[in-house]
Amino acid sequence: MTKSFKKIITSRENAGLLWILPAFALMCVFCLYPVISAFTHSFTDWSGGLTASFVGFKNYGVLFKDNLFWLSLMNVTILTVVGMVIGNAASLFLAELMFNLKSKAAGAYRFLFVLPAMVPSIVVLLLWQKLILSGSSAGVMNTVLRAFGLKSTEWFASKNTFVVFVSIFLYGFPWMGGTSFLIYLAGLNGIDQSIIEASKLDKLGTFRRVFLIDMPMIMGQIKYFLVMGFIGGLQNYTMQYAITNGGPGKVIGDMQSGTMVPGYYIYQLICGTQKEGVGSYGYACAMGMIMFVIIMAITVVNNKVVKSNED
Amino acid sequence: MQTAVKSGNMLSAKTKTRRRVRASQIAVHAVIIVLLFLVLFPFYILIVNSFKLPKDIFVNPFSFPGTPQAPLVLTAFGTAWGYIKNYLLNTVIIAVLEIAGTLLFASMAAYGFSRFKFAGKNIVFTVFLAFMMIPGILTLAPQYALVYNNLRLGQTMAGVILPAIAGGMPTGVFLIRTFFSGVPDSVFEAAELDGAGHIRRYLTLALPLSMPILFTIGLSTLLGAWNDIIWARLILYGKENLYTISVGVFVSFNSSVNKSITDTVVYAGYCIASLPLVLVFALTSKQFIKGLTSGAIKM
Repeated sequence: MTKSFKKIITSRENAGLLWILPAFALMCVFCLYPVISAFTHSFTDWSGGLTASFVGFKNYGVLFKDNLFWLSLMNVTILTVVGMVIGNAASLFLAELMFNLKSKAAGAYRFLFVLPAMVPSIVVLLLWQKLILSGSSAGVMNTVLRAFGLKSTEWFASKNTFVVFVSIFLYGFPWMGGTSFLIYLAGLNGIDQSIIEASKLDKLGTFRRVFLIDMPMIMGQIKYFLVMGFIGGLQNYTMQYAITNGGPGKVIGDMQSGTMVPGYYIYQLICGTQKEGVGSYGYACAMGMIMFVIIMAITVVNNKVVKSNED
Repeated sequence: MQTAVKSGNMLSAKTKTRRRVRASQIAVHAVIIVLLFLVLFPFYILIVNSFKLPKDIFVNPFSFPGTPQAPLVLTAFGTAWGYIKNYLLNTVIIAVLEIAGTLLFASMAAYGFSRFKFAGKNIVFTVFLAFMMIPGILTLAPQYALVYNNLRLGQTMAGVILPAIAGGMPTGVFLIRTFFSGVPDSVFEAAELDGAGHIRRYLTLALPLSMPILFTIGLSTLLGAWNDIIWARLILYGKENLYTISVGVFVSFNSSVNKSITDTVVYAGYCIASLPLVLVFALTSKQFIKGLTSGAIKM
């Protein structure tokens, strides 16, 4: 036994396993085990402790009839889709501007647009909540509204769910600070210069070139943001976590529902919110499994659909 | 005569297009500057207000400090530093250990995958990559229970650091391996003929050659450590002296939690919390932008 073990270890090629071992061990403990645990515990009444008993498909059954879960799925779909459209349109627009700019200032512009990404995201969130979309009359957006003769509003603090949604969408306006435009810009710079030159000879205007040449040529980047946008968006709950707390709107169970999303629902279950009739951790695992399936399905569909466009 | 007219026409057409190009360039500059103003405006407000008295923030939120209406005040920064310095130190410790662990283990694994041929190698590598597909939303509950209840790493830095290193493995191994594969075999074979063992080849060849990608992964790990709030707060909650920047700023550095902190102090604290990464970026923006755009995506 020890001999063969020694043989495996000292064999020139199998020594490769030793190089992989630390990474592999860490992943087994902190990545693989939680996945297995999530799957198995989704069939139990687990409440976070060391024991749990099997309850079959009960969690999934309760989940299926959970109004708050359906509402949160709808919310996250709206937030993801609208957020992706706004964010990508803005990044693409900025990338096109930078692409068409022939100037030594380009480097400085690029630097300044990326700079905000270095500010801790929680600081940016609180900044918008306290100063820009603040409900007070001194808030930046309210000052702007008043300048146009419009009425101030409460923004994030509003009791009206629609106003809070609008605030979430407005957050980050003009949605361009950060690094995503760089990836579009890299895609644009990768387009063969002769194609651009040919479009100029054909007297194709800039506007038509953007849609007829640039966009199809950077399908790879668009696809990347589409896939990543869905994966990230469906899991995201930063706004709920830092600002809205899932509110406003009706309280269902112990939770607010207006801007509730699955990620925040799961987070609340972990942090001690109870769901009647089920173990909160087992229930969170079941919800996680459903989200996993949804995210996987969308990723596969995205890959298929966008790929067929490329051919 | 005719040719002269023709060439004259052509000339004016040329200057016309040149003028049109210049006008459109000016328009592009103008739009970019307006957008830049909008992007940076929140940070302008943050900075100017951190130099004012609390009462002046409400009266003159937009103005520069140092006017008779809003005198320039520096004390907020001193007060804020008293709170923030501990958070900063914690974040730096956590970030450095996460970066070191991620780079070391990911590069070792990448070396194992690219320089050895052992049974099941491709299967193991695929398993590594598959974890890029696992959404965090699925594993949050079991991971938290594991770290907090089973491993008893609640309220410790290890509870923040170890899962972060593990989570960085799939992408890290993938990116570094791609980089190692770009190095010609002959380079390694020549070193082997010179009698260099694997450890020496890893240290003196593989690592130095892959500096750009190591730098990129290191920076993204740094950003991750700096911005992580959900996991760090779950693990560290209740242990104020271990709070990171994001957790501290969110949980306790707050005028509603702590009455002795005014809004100006809060804004000064935000400035201090943002400064380190802004400086890192200012010093390395070239490599940073290059790393982001070149290696990151090939779909």
